[in-house]
Amino acid sequence: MKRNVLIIESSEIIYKGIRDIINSCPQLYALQQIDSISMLDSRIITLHPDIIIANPTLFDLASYDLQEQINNIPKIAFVYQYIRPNILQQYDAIIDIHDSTNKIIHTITNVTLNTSTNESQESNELTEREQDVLILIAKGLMSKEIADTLNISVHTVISHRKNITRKTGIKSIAGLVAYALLNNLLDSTEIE
Amino acid sequence: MTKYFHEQTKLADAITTHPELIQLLPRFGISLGFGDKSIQYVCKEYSVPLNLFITICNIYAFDSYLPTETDIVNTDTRHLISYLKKSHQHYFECRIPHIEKHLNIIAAQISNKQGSILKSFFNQFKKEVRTHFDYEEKDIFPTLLNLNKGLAPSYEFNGYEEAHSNIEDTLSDLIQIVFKYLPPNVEHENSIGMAFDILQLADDIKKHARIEELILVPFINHLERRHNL
Repeated sequence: MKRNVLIIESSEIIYKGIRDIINSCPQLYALQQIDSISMLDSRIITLHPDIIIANPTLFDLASYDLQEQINNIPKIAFVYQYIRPNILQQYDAIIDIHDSTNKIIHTITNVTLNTSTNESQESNELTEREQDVLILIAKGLMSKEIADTLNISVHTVISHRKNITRKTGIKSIAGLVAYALLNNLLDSTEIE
Repeated sequence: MTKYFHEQTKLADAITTHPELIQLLPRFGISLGFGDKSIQYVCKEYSVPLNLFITICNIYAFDSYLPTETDIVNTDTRHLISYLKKSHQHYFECRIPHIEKHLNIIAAQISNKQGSILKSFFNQFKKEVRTHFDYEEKDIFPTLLNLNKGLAPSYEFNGYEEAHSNIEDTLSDLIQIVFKYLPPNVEHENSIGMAFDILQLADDIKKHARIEELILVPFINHLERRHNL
Protein backbone atom coordinates (compact mmCIF):
# COMPACT_ATOMS: atom_id res chain seq x y z
CA MET A 1 0.00 0.00 0.00
CA LYS A 2 1.20 3.48 -0.83
CA ARG A 3 2.02 5.83 2.01
CA ASN A 4 0.61 9.32 1.72
CA VAL A 5 3.09 12.11 2.25
CA LEU A 6 1.82 15.53 3.24
CA ILE A 7 4.14 18.38 2.25
CA ILE A 8 3.95 21.67 4.10
CA GLU A 9 5.93 24.10 2.01
CA SER A 10 5.06 27.57 0.74
CA SER A 11 7.30 27.58 -2.36
CA GLU A 12 5.69 25.96 -5.38
CA ILE A 13 9.07 25.22 -7.02
CA ILE A 14 10.29 23.38 -3.96
CA TYR A 15 6.96 21.58 -3.45
CA LYS A 16 6.95 20.33 -7.05
CA GLY A 17 10.56 19.18 -6.71
CA ILE A 18 9.85 17.14 -3.59
CA ARG A 19 6.58 15.86 -5.06
CA ASP A 20 8.31 14.48 -8.16
CA ILE A 21 10.98 12.80 -6.10
CA ILE A 22 8.35 11.23 -3.82
CA ASN A 23 6.15 10.07 -6.68
CA SER A 24 9.16 8.44 -8.38
CA CYS A 25 9.01 5.93 -5.56
CA PRO A 26 6.16 3.42 -6.08
CA GLN A 27 5.54 3.09 -2.33
CA LEU A 28 4.97 6.80 -1.79
CA TYR A 29 2.36 9.28 -2.88
CA ALA A 30 2.65 13.06 -2.47
CA LEU A 31 -0.54 14.76 -1.37
CA GLN A 32 -1.44 18.22 -2.57
CA GLN A 33 0.55 21.23 -1.43
CA ILE A 34 -0.22 22.72 1.95
CA ASP A 35 1.27 26.18 2.16
CA SER A 36 0.07 27.30 5.55
CA ILE A 37 -0.79 25.79 8.88
CA SER A 38 -4.34 27.11 8.96
CA MET A 39 -5.05 25.04 5.87
CA LEU A 40 -3.60 22.03 7.57
CA ASP A 41 -6.06 22.30 10.46
CA SER A 42 -8.97 21.01 8.48
CA ARG A 43 -7.16 18.94 5.90
CA ILE A 44 -5.11 16.85 8.24
CA ILE A 45 -8.18 14.83 9.11
CA THR A 46 -9.50 14.34 5.60
CA LEU A 47 -6.17 13.65 3.88
CA HIS A 48 -4.99 10.95 6.29
CA PRO A 49 -1.27 11.50 5.78
CA ASP A 50 1.11 8.72 6.82
CA ILE A 51 4.12 11.01 6.84
CA ILE A 52 4.46 14.77 7.12
CA ILE A 53 7.31 16.69 5.52
CA ALA A 54 7.36 20.26 6.74
CA ASN A 55 9.37 23.39 6.30
CA PRO A 56 10.09 24.08 9.99
CA THR A 57 9.87 27.83 9.45
CA LEU A 58 6.21 27.41 8.51
CA PHE A 59 5.30 24.83 11.04
CA ASP A 60 6.09 25.33 14.69
CA LEU A 61 5.09 22.03 16.26
CA ALA A 62 5.39 23.18 19.85
CA SER A 63 2.69 25.81 19.55
CA TYR A 64 0.57 23.85 17.10
CA ASP A 65 -2.93 23.44 18.46
CA LEU A 66 -3.66 20.12 16.82
CA GLN A 67 -0.47 18.44 18.04
CA GLU A 68 -2.54 15.62 19.38
CA GLN A 69 -3.95 14.67 16.01
CA ILE A 70 -0.55 14.36 14.38
CA ASN A 71 1.21 12.76 17.32
CA ASN A 72 1.28 9.37 15.68
CA ILE A 73 2.45 10.60 12.29
CA PRO A 74 6.21 10.68 11.64
CA LYS A 75 7.38 14.19 10.82
CA ILE A 76 10.35 15.10 8.65
CA ALA A 77 11.90 18.56 8.61
CA PHE A 78 12.79 19.86 5.16
CA VAL A 79 15.70 22.20 5.66
CA TYR A 80 17.21 24.75 3.31
CA GLN A 81 18.30 27.39 5.77
CA TYR A 82 19.57 27.46 9.34
CA ILE A 83 16.99 26.09 11.80
CA ARG A 84 17.52 26.16 15.55
CA PRO A 85 18.42 22.72 16.93
CA ASN A 86 15.62 22.75 19.51
CA ILE A 87 13.13 23.06 16.64
CA LEU A 88 14.75 20.26 14.66
CA GLN A 89 14.51 18.05 17.72
CA GLN A 90 10.77 18.03 17.33
CA TYR A 91 11.10 16.09 14.09
CA ASP A 92 11.74 12.42 13.55
CA ALA A 93 14.09 12.94 10.59
CA ILE A 94 15.67 15.67 8.46
CA ILE A 95 15.94 16.12 4.71
CA ASP A 96 18.47 18.68 3.47
CA ILE A 97 17.93 20.53 0.21
CA HIS A 98 21.26 19.14 -1.08
CA ASP A 99 20.32 15.51 -0.43
CA SER A 100 20.23 13.18 -3.44
CA THR A 101 16.97 11.60 -4.67
CA ASN A 102 18.05 8.25 -3.26
CA LYS A 103 18.88 9.69 0.09
CA ILE A 104 15.56 11.56 0.28
CA ILE A 105 13.56 8.44 -0.60
CA HIS A 106 15.60 6.46 1.91
CA THR A 107 14.91 9.01 4.65
CA ILE A 108 11.17 9.06 3.92
CA THR A 109 10.70 5.30 3.65
CA ASN A 110 12.70 4.64 6.79
CA VAL A 111 11.27 7.30 9.03
CA THR A 112 9.65 6.07 12.21
CA LEU A 113 8.53 7.99 15.22
CA ASN A 114 11.51 9.24 17.16
CA THR A 115 11.34 7.25 20.37
CA SER A 116 12.32 10.10 22.65
CA THR A 117 9.53 12.35 21.42
CA ASN A 118 7.28 9.34 21.11
CA GLU A 119 7.59 8.57 24.77
CA SER A 120 6.58 12.00 25.94
CA GLN A 121 3.79 12.28 23.39
CA GLU A 122 2.30 8.86 23.91
CA SER A 123 2.38 8.91 27.68
CA ASN A 124 -0.73 9.84 29.54
CA GLU A 125 0.80 13.05 30.84
CA LEU A 126 -1.23 16.07 29.87
CA THR A 127 0.51 18.48 27.49
CA GLU A 128 1.02 22.04 28.71
CA ARG A 129 -1.85 23.19 26.52
CA GLU A 130 -4.13 20.53 27.94
CA GLN A 131 -3.17 21.61 31.44
CA ASP A 132 -4.08 25.20 30.54
CA VAL A 133 -7.47 24.04 29.29
CA LEU A 134 -7.98 21.79 32.34
CA ILE A 135 -7.28 24.67 34.73
CA LEU A 136 -9.85 26.85 32.97
CA ILE A 137 -12.43 24.03 33.01
CA ALA A 138 -11.82 23.63 36.73
CA LYS A 139 -12.32 27.37 37.21
CA GLY A 140 -15.76 26.91 35.71
CA LEU A 141 -15.27 28.37 32.22
CA MET A 142 -17.31 27.11 29.27
CA SER A 143 -15.61 25.91 26.07
CA LYS A 144 -16.35 29.20 24.30
CA GLU A 145 -14.80 31.23 27.14
CA ILE A 146 -11.75 28.95 27.22
CA ALA A 147 -11.34 29.41 23.46
CA ASP A 148 -11.44 33.20 23.88
CA THR A 149 -9.03 33.18 26.82
CA LEU A 150 -6.45 31.00 25.07
CA ASN A 151 -7.07 32.50 21.66
CA ILE A 152 -7.85 29.15 20.03
CA SER A 153 -10.95 27.81 18.31
CA VAL A 154 -13.83 26.18 20.18
CA HIS A 155 -13.20 23.11 18.06
CA THR A 156 -9.66 22.94 19.41
CA VAL A 157 -10.89 23.35 22.99
CA ILE A 158 -13.28 20.44 22.46
CA SER A 159 -10.49 18.31 21.06
CA HIS A 160 -8.33 19.17 24.12
CA ARG A 161 -11.24 18.27 26.41
CA LYS A 162 -11.57 14.89 24.73
CA ASN A 163 -7.86 14.23 25.17
CA ILE A 164 -7.97 15.29 28.82
CA THR A 165 -10.81 12.85 29.47
CA ARG A 166 -9.08 10.08 27.53
CA LYS A 167 -5.81 10.57 29.41
CA THR A 168 -7.18 11.08 32.92
CA GLY A 169 -10.25 8.83 32.62
CA ILE A 170 -12.29 11.62 34.24
CA LYS A 171 -15.47 12.99 32.65
CA SER A 172 -17.27 15.25 35.11
CA ILE A 173 -16.25 18.80 35.90
CA ALA A 174 -16.23 18.06 39.63
CA GLY A 175 -13.87 15.15 38.92
CA LEU A 176 -11.58 17.35 36.84
CA VAL A 177 -11.47 19.92 39.65
CA ALA A 178 -10.42 17.17 42.06
CA TYR A 179 -7.80 15.96 39.56
CA ALA A 180 -6.39 19.46 39.08
CA LEU A 181 -6.20 20.04 42.85
CA LEU A 182 -4.68 16.63 43.64
CA ASN A 183 -2.03 17.19 40.97
CA ASN A 184 -1.28 20.71 42.18
CA LEU A 185 -2.26 22.28 38.88
CA LEU A 186 -4.59 24.52 40.77
CA ASP A 187 -4.89 25.95 44.24
CA SER A 188 -8.20 25.62 46.05
CA THR A 189 -8.22 29.41 46.53
CA GLU A 190 -8.40 29.82 42.76
CA ILE A 191 -11.84 28.30 42.46
CA GLU A 192 -15.11 29.54 43.82
CA MET B 1 -28.78 -18.48 24.34
CA THR B 2 -29.01 -16.88 27.74
CA LYS B 3 -31.35 -18.66 30.10
CA TYR B 4 -33.36 -16.06 31.92
CA PHE B 5 -35.07 -16.65 35.25
CA HIS B 6 -38.71 -17.77 35.23
CA GLU B 7 -41.33 -18.58 37.83
CA GLN B 8 -40.14 -22.18 38.29
CA THR B 9 -36.48 -21.22 38.83
CA LYS B 10 -35.41 -22.01 42.37
CA LEU B 11 -34.56 -18.77 44.13
CA ALA B 12 -31.47 -20.40 45.64
CA ASP B 13 -30.25 -21.40 42.15
CA ALA B 14 -30.78 -17.88 40.80
CA ILE B 15 -28.72 -16.40 43.63
CA THR B 16 -26.01 -19.04 43.35
CA THR B 17 -25.45 -18.20 39.69
CA HIS B 18 -25.89 -14.44 40.22
CA PRO B 19 -24.90 -13.60 43.81
CA GLU B 20 -25.51 -9.88 43.25
CA LEU B 21 -29.26 -10.65 43.35
CA ILE B 22 -28.99 -11.10 47.08
CA GLN B 23 -29.09 -7.31 47.43
CA LEU B 24 -32.59 -7.26 45.96
CA LEU B 25 -34.16 -9.47 48.62
CA PRO B 26 -34.43 -6.92 51.46
CA ARG B 27 -35.90 -4.42 48.99
CA PHE B 28 -38.77 -6.85 48.47
CA GLY B 29 -38.89 -7.81 52.13
CA ILE B 30 -37.75 -11.38 51.41
CA SER B 31 -35.57 -13.02 54.08
CA LEU B 32 -32.90 -15.66 53.59
CA GLY B 33 -33.66 -19.26 54.44
CA PHE B 34 -36.01 -19.98 51.53
CA GLY B 35 -34.80 -23.56 51.08
CA ASP B 36 -35.46 -25.04 47.64
CA LYS B 37 -38.56 -23.00 46.93
CA SER B 38 -39.24 -21.68 43.46
CA ILE B 39 -39.41 -17.96 42.73
CA GLN B 40 -43.16 -18.33 42.29
CA TYR B 41 -43.57 -19.92 45.70
CA VAL B 42 -41.40 -17.40 47.54
CA CYS B 43 -43.17 -14.46 45.89
CA LYS B 44 -46.54 -15.86 46.96
CA GLU B 45 -45.28 -16.35 50.48
CA TYR B 46 -44.11 -12.73 50.78
CA SER B 47 -46.96 -11.23 48.66
CA VAL B 48 -44.50 -9.93 46.09
CA PRO B 49 -45.87 -9.56 42.52
CA LEU B 50 -44.26 -12.44 40.62
CA ASN B 51 -43.99 -10.67 37.28
CA LEU B 52 -42.25 -7.60 38.73
CA PHE B 53 -39.83 -9.68 40.79
CA ILE B 54 -38.78 -11.84 37.83
CA THR B 55 -38.43 -8.84 35.54
CA ILE B 56 -36.26 -6.96 38.03
CA CYS B 57 -34.09 -10.04 38.72
CA ASN B 58 -33.57 -10.57 34.99
CA ILE B 59 -32.67 -6.94 34.30
CA TYR B 60 -30.34 -7.02 37.30
CA ALA B 61 -28.56 -10.22 36.29
CA PHE B 62 -28.52 -10.01 32.48
CA ASP B 63 -27.43 -6.97 30.46
CA SER B 64 -29.13 -8.45 27.40
CA TYR B 65 -32.56 -8.79 29.02
CA LEU B 66 -35.42 -6.60 27.81
CA PRO B 67 -38.85 -6.80 29.44
CA THR B 68 -41.76 -7.60 27.11
CA GLU B 69 -44.61 -5.21 26.53
CA THR B 70 -46.87 -7.46 28.64
CA ASP B 71 -44.37 -7.19 31.52
CA ILE B 72 -44.47 -3.41 31.32
CA VAL B 73 -48.24 -3.06 30.92
CA ASN B 74 -48.81 -5.30 33.92
CA THR B 75 -46.41 -3.47 36.22
CA ASP B 76 -47.59 -3.33 39.81
CA THR B 77 -47.19 0.40 40.47
CA ARG B 78 -47.24 0.27 44.24
CA HIS B 79 -44.63 -2.48 44.46
CA LEU B 80 -42.42 -0.89 41.81
CA ILE B 81 -42.37 2.40 43.71
CA SER B 82 -41.78 0.59 46.97
CA TYR B 83 -38.86 -1.32 45.44
CA LEU B 84 -37.29 1.85 44.02
CA LYS B 85 -37.70 3.77 47.27
CA LYS B 86 -36.16 0.96 49.27
CA SER B 87 -33.21 0.92 46.89
CA HIS B 88 -32.72 4.65 47.42
CA GLN B 89 -32.93 4.13 51.15
CA HIS B 90 -30.40 1.31 51.00
CA TYR B 91 -27.91 3.48 49.11
CA PHE B 92 -28.28 6.37 51.50
CA GLU B 93 -28.56 4.59 54.80
CA CYS B 94 -26.12 1.78 54.21
CA ARG B 95 -23.86 1.89 51.15
CA ILE B 96 -22.92 5.56 51.00
CA PRO B 97 -22.24 5.87 54.77
CA HIS B 98 -20.03 2.78 54.44
CA ILE B 99 -17.93 4.41 51.74
CA GLU B 100 -17.88 7.62 53.75
CA LYS B 101 -16.51 5.83 56.78
CA HIS B 102 -13.56 4.55 54.74
CA LEU B 103 -13.13 7.96 53.17
CA ASN B 104 -12.94 9.73 56.53
CA ILE B 105 -10.26 7.34 57.75
CA ILE B 106 -8.34 7.81 54.50
CA ALA B 107 -8.68 11.60 54.71
CA ALA B 108 -7.05 11.51 58.14
CA GLN B 109 -4.06 9.62 56.70
CA ILE B 110 -3.27 12.08 53.92
CA SER B 111 -2.63 15.80 53.84
CA ASN B 112 -5.43 18.13 54.90
CA LYS B 113 -5.65 19.55 51.44
CA GLN B 114 -5.91 16.17 49.70
CA GLY B 115 -8.37 14.96 52.31
CA SER B 116 -10.67 17.89 51.83
CA ILE B 117 -10.52 17.53 48.02
CA LEU B 118 -11.64 13.92 48.27
CA LYS B 119 -14.35 14.75 50.78
CA SER B 120 -15.70 17.64 48.78
CA PHE B 121 -15.81 15.54 45.61
CA PHE B 122 -17.66 12.82 47.47
CA ASN B 123 -20.09 15.34 48.96
CA GLN B 124 -20.80 16.66 45.51
CA PHE B 125 -21.57 13.13 44.35
CA LYS B 126 -23.89 12.64 47.33
CA LYS B 127 -25.69 15.88 46.58
CA GLU B 128 -26.16 14.91 42.96
CA VAL B 129 -27.63 11.54 43.88
CA ARG B 130 -29.82 13.04 46.62
CA THR B 131 -31.24 15.66 44.22
CA HIS B 132 -32.12 13.01 41.66
CA PHE B 133 -33.69 10.66 44.20
CA ASP B 134 -35.69 13.53 45.73
CA TYR B 135 -36.95 14.47 42.30
CA GLU B 136 -38.11 10.89 41.78
CA GLU B 137 -39.69 10.51 45.19
CA LYS B 138 -41.37 13.90 45.39
CA ASP B 139 -42.33 14.43 41.76
CA ILE B 140 -42.17 11.28 39.67
CA PHE B 141 -43.62 8.67 42.01
CA PRO B 142 -46.69 10.70 43.13
CA THR B 143 -47.33 11.62 39.52
CA LEU B 144 -47.10 7.97 38.56
CA LEU B 145 -49.68 7.08 41.21
CA ASN B 146 -51.99 9.77 39.84
CA LEU B 147 -51.44 8.60 36.29
CA ASN B 148 -52.43 5.15 37.40
CA LYS B 149 -55.76 6.62 38.48
CA GLY B 150 -56.10 8.37 35.12
CA LEU B 151 -55.09 11.84 36.33
CA ALA B 152 -53.01 14.04 34.06
CA PRO B 153 -49.30 14.30 34.91
CA SER B 154 -48.10 17.61 36.24
CA TYR B 155 -44.58 16.90 34.99
CA GLU B 156 -42.78 16.36 31.76
CA PHE B 157 -40.70 13.24 32.16
CA ASN B 158 -37.62 14.56 30.48
CA GLY B 159 -33.94 14.28 31.22
CA TYR B 160 -34.19 10.95 33.01
CA GLU B 161 -31.41 9.20 31.17
CA GLU B 162 -29.26 12.31 31.31
CA ALA B 163 -29.52 12.52 35.11
CA HIS B 164 -28.61 8.84 35.33
CA SER B 165 -25.63 9.14 33.07
CA ASN B 166 -24.42 12.16 35.05
CA ILE B 167 -24.54 10.16 38.26
CA GLU B 168 -22.77 7.25 36.59
CA ASP B 169 -20.08 9.59 35.23
CA THR B 170 -19.47 11.07 38.67
CA LEU B 171 -19.19 7.58 40.17
CA SER B 172 -16.82 6.47 37.45
CA ASP B 173 -14.71 9.59 38.11
CA LEU B 174 -14.66 8.76 41.78
CA ILE B 175 -13.35 5.30 40.88
CA GLN B 176 -10.67 6.80 38.61
CA ILE B 177 -9.57 9.26 41.28
CA VAL B 178 -9.37 6.57 43.96
CA PHE B 179 -7.53 4.14 41.67
CA LYS B 180 -5.10 6.52 40.08
CA TYR B 181 -4.58 9.50 42.30
CA LEU B 182 -4.95 8.33 45.87
CA PRO B 183 -1.68 9.02 47.74
CA PRO B 184 0.14 5.68 48.22
CA ASN B 185 0.65 6.12 51.95
CA VAL B 186 -2.97 5.20 52.70
CA GLU B 187 -3.46 1.90 54.55
CA HIS B 188 -4.54 -0.87 52.22
CA GLU B 189 -7.41 -1.99 54.36
CA ASN B 190 -9.18 1.30 53.81
CA SER B 191 -8.13 2.17 50.29
CA ILE B 192 -8.99 -1.26 48.89
CA GLY B 193 -12.10 -1.44 51.05
CA MET B 194 -13.32 1.87 49.75
CA ALA B 195 -12.48 1.08 46.12
CA PHE B 196 -14.39 -2.19 46.44
CA ASP B 197 -17.42 -0.48 47.98
CA ILE B 198 -17.48 2.19 45.30
CA LEU B 199 -17.25 -0.38 42.51
CA GLN B 200 -20.13 -2.31 44.01
CA LEU B 201 -22.26 0.80 44.47
CA ALA B 202 -21.50 1.93 40.91
CA ASP B 203 -22.64 -1.42 39.59
CA ASP B 204 -25.80 -1.40 41.69
CA ILE B 205 -26.73 2.16 40.72
CA LYS B 206 -26.16 1.34 37.05
CA LYS B 207 -28.63 -1.53 37.33
CA HIS B 208 -31.04 0.62 39.30
CA ALA B 209 -30.98 3.14 36.44
CA ARG B 210 -31.59 0.34 33.93
CA ILE B 211 -34.59 -0.84 35.90
CA GLU B 212 -36.02 2.67 35.79
CA GLU B 213 -35.26 3.10 32.11
CA LEU B 214 -36.65 -0.30 31.14
CA ILE B 215 -39.72 -0.44 33.41
CA LEU B 216 -40.58 2.92 34.97
CA VAL B 217 -40.18 5.14 31.91
CA PRO B 218 -41.97 2.84 29.42
CA PHE B 219 -44.71 2.23 32.00
CA ILE B 220 -45.30 5.99 32.38
CA ASN B 221 -45.42 6.31 28.58
CA HIS B 222 -47.89 3.46 28.43
CA LEU B 223 -50.21 5.06 31.03
CA GLU B 224 -50.05 8.41 29.26
CA ARG B 225 -51.08 6.76 26.00
CA ARG B 226 -53.79 4.68 27.65
CA HIS B 227 -55.41 7.74 29.17
CA ASN B 228 -54.76 9.84 26.07
CA LEU B 229 -52.91 12.35 28.19
